[in-house]
Amino acid sequence: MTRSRWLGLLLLVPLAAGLFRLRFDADVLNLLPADLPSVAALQLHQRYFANARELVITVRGNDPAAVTSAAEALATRLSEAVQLVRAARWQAPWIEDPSAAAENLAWMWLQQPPEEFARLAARLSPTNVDRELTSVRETLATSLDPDALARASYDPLGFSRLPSTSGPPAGFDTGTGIFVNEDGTFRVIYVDPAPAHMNYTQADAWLAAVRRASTNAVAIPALDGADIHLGFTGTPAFVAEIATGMERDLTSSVLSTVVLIALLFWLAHRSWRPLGWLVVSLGLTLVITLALGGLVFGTLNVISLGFAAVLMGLAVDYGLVSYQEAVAGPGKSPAEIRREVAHGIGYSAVTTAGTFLLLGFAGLPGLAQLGALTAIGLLTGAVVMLFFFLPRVCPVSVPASRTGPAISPPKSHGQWSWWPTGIALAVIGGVLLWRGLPSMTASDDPLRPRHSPTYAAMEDLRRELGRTNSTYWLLFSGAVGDQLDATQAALAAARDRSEIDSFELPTTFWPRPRNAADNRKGADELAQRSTELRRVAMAAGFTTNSLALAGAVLTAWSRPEDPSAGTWPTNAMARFLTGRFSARTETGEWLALGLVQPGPKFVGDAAHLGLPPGVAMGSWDSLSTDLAGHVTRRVTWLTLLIGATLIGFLRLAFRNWREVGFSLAALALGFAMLLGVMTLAGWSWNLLSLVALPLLLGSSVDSTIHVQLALRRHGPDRTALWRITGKALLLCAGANIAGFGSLAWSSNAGLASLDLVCAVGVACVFVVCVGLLPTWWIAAHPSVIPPRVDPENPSSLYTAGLWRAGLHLGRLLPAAWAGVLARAGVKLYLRMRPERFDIVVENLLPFSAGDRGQAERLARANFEAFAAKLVDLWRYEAGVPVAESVQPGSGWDHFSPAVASGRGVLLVTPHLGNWEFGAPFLGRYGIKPLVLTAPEPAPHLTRLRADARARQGVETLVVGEDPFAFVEIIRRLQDGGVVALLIDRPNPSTAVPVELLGRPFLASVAAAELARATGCVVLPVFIVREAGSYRARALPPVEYEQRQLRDRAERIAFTGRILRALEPAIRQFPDQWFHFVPVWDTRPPQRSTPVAGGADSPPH
Amino acid sequence: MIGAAVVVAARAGAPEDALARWLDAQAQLTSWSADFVQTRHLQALTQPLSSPGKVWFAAPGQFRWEVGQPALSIAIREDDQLVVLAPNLKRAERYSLSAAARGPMKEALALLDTGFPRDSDDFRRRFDLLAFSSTNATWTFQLQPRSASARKLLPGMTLVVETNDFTLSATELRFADGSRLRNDFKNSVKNPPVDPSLFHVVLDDSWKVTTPMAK
Repeated sequence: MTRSRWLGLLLLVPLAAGLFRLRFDADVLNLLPADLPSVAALQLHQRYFANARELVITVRGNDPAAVTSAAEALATRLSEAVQLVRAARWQAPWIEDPSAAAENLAWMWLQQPPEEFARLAARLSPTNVDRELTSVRETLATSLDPDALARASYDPLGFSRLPSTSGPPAGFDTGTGIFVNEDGTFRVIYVDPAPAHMNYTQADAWLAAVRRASTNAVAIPALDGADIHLGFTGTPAFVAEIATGMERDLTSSVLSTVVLIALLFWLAHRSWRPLGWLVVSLGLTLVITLALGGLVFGTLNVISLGFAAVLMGLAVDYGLVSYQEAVAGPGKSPAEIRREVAHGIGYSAVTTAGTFLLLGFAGLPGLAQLGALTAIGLLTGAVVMLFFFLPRVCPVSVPASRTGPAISPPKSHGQWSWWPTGIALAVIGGVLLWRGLPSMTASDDPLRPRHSPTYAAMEDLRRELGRTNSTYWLLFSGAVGDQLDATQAALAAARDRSEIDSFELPTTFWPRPRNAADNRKGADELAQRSTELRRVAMAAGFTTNSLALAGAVLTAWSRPEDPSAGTWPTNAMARFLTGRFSARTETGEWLALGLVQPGPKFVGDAAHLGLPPGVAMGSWDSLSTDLAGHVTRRVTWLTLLIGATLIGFLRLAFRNWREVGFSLAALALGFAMLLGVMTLAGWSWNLLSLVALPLLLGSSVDSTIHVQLALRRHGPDRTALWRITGKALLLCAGANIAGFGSLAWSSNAGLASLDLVCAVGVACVFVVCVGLLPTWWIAAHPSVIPPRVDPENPSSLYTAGLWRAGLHLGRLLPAAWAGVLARAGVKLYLRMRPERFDIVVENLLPFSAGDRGQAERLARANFEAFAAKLVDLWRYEAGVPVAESVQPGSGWDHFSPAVASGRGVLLVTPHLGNWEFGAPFLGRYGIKPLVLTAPEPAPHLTRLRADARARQGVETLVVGEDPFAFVEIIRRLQDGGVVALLIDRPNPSTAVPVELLGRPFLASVAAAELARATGCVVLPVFIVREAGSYRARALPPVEYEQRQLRDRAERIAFTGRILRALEPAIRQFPDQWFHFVPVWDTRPPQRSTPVAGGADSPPH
Repeated sequence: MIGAAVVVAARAGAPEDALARWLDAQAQLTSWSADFVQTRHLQALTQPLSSPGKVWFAAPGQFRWEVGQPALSIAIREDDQLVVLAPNLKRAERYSLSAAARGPMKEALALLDTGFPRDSDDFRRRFDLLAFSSTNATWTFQLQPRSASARKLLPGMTLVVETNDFTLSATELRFADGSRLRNDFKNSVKNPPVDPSLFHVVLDDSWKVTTPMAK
């Protein structure tokens, strides 16, 4: 066996020890900060007074008699089940054994201050006892107080009238408040389990057996129709319920997280082997973390167990990153991959673990443990993924089709619009204005299990026995006797001030050894007068029954002095009572318990009540208030601390403040979105979910960094951004959401709310980072944006759909209205596409002799004229007659001789005015020209426009579609026909360099080619808008020698002459020279194919 | 004995009719006062104890009981609370009779105004008529609280009513431990003018006031 394997086996020892040591802590109070006074008081109470072994069974019904019968039957049945139950007590022990009450009373009198005992002795002295008995008879005859009557009846000598109690002393009532409620419809059975120690599985099984026995016990004919309901609470029930719930949470959340992660991984990589090893690695991470948790903490609490699913969701990122790198580098060894990813994973693990460790400052120990466990798990997960997972999946051999294309996918710069940001802000703002911010719930409910029958039974118990969440516990420690005396006086005064309604203190039942010694002599003397006192009382008319208590007290005093005087009596009743209000710590210190019911002027402050030092005070209500303040303060500081740390990290990462600002803005908007979702869903913040704020801050900032760094690399390339970074973030966010979300159904309400908020928060931040942040970043970095328009390609607006919409506009609206709309559209377009305006300005600069301002004015006029032309064109193609709106203008008399020559006429025109109207204009003279066009951007659009011309009787030839089109054109000219051709925007294959306006210009050589082939008349024409109507103008034919045109240079020169002929017209109407692409390019032509460019497309 | 008692429980309708007539008559009362002798048969004593006293009632539900002459114990119903005073001890106890106060004590204390029912339906909701007997001069109703919790403290009670004018002549309360408390009324006056201050408790600082049932 190798050394490393021996080392591995050696490491198994502490891990096994950790797992063996692991325990679950079901005590809710252990989740809370012990430095809060209210928590300290409640913890002491729960630890020493809630009887850690006792099961409490509640019996509820409508009929008190039936409830009593059911409680008795149940207690009897359980007492018989000796393998289950050691004792089951259903009524006060003093009812079962009244003699014990007298013994306790005798003991309590001994503990009284000597002056009080002296008063008793004086009251019963031979000279006073008659008067005392007369007074008691008077009370019996006239009192309307039921309690006074009862006490006088059974205690005429007044031994039960202890000085420090107003009501009956403990042990002299019916057990109301401990065993039964006031109306008898609710009873309580205290069950002492037979097993000395039970773990949670044993407690669960034991509770199930007790439940069965209890249910059977009340299923008797005598209780038929009594509608008896049983409840089970107390420590064994809580242990069974919470611990099994924790186990269920752990199992279900881990399983569901792993399944979701596996699904995400499968969708991303579609490979079983790495998926299997990833799941194994996650399991290994979890087990090691649990073992380390066992070693470090020993006991895991209900909250901290939530770490498992959170850890799964976060640790899987390291596996995903490692595998992604392996896929990107097929054939690389594990060591090579590790070298590439270890730095990033290590940095991420340390920072994320650090963030979770900061949860220790959140002020909740339960949450601190969760943070620490998650931090341990993250570091463990990083090691496991790098050194266990990677070697098992590397090297990767992935088909080329999956590893990434050899040829990069086309860049898609798409539209980085502000609309989504605007909509997000509007929706979030609207929701928050409409519904407000989520409220804060200060209650401690989130710390408790959800849907808990055990808690419901406990609440029922408290309510029925007169204990509410506002009842305060007083915990006495140290010099308890003195504290009780001082507290008794302070609380009596507070009651007089209406600050409290009532209080219960074990003052009379607390051992006072010194008093007992001092009172012993007086007690002996009274005991010696026992017979005399009995005789006097009977002479006063009292029955022997009424003197039983007095006799028992005096008998107790007559016994020899107990050497253990100063401690409590040992009868069952005394043991029961002392267990309720006294306890001894592991160090031997005595603790005592008191209760206070707040009054209308209660201020909730021990010092204000005048309580002596060492007395702790707390209630569930005060706990909630204290906790809310405590956690809110801590979370605020924690959030600021993490925020400041993160700003520092962001500054280091970006090295500029602008991107830091974007990160913070993305987080802020993500949080605002979270608030909106919470508001809509009706969620509120609570003690635990509040901690989601710093947690999210720490775990989400990565996304903002990754996206901005990706934008630096890829610019606004949407495809690259999504394919490389977006998908990875989606996987990680999905895994995180799965991890957090799997606890949304946790049995612990707080944990569920915390993780639900975290899951939604991660989703919100992801949406903002991938959906909105790029727009902000790109807006701040315009230099990375390539031109949004491609002058060589048609506009994205020049589509069949929009053209058809234009046709409808032209058909349905009056020309004036359509013109207004078109002009508005053009203005909008100029705002959206200022680059296009710049192109037109460049084109028109020669007309202004380089004056840019004038060129810009010309360009604006040009766009407006184009709007008017578009409207006219749409109307024309929509079928509105336009022929009459075109009138012959100057030079048109050249046309008829040209036609009459029989050589065929080639009409050449620049993109000047509305050349499309030439066909209907010629139609007036019975001439149907053949119009040459280039293919439109889409076949559908080409057909749409050709059909429109055909409806007007215009014959169109799409040159690019028909290889034999050139033949048809020549034939048409040779037959003496008329062909129309645009000359100033050539196809690259027909472009030849000429000069226009003194600048190099590319024109189509197609006219020269056709002239050479046919000897046709080349007649420059144009139709421009003048004074509200169109004028068709012609220039003298451009003469040439057909034979000379055999030479290409001659053809180029001839093309130049045509342009020069047209130049004055272009100079005259620059606002109607419609070129929206750069025209002063000087690219040399490649081939001489006579193709004319039809160009009615709107500016791109 | 002339007009010997006749148990009429078997005569269907008669006991209910009688009870209804008495309840109707009581509903007409605006005030009432009487002297009484209260006799307590207690298990603790070999002989019963008797005390004179006086009672005042004013519609709709105010009463004042004074036991002893001079009064050693006073019970006053004022609004929704019962105040029990021990003048010689300067001690006062306030018991709320509102819905918030639950339990047998409230039920038992409410019985102090049992002799002055104003609402027939309410009375029947609270009590079952177990038995009825009559002589020429009186009707005797044996009643039992319907509430089980009230029965725990007070299993039964008896009302004796004069047949000529439906005046209450005696009440007897039987307690769970076997004790009995009987009031025999005399010098009763229907609808006398009653000083409202009788039902109003004013206590100076010398009184020790407690609210035993408050939680």
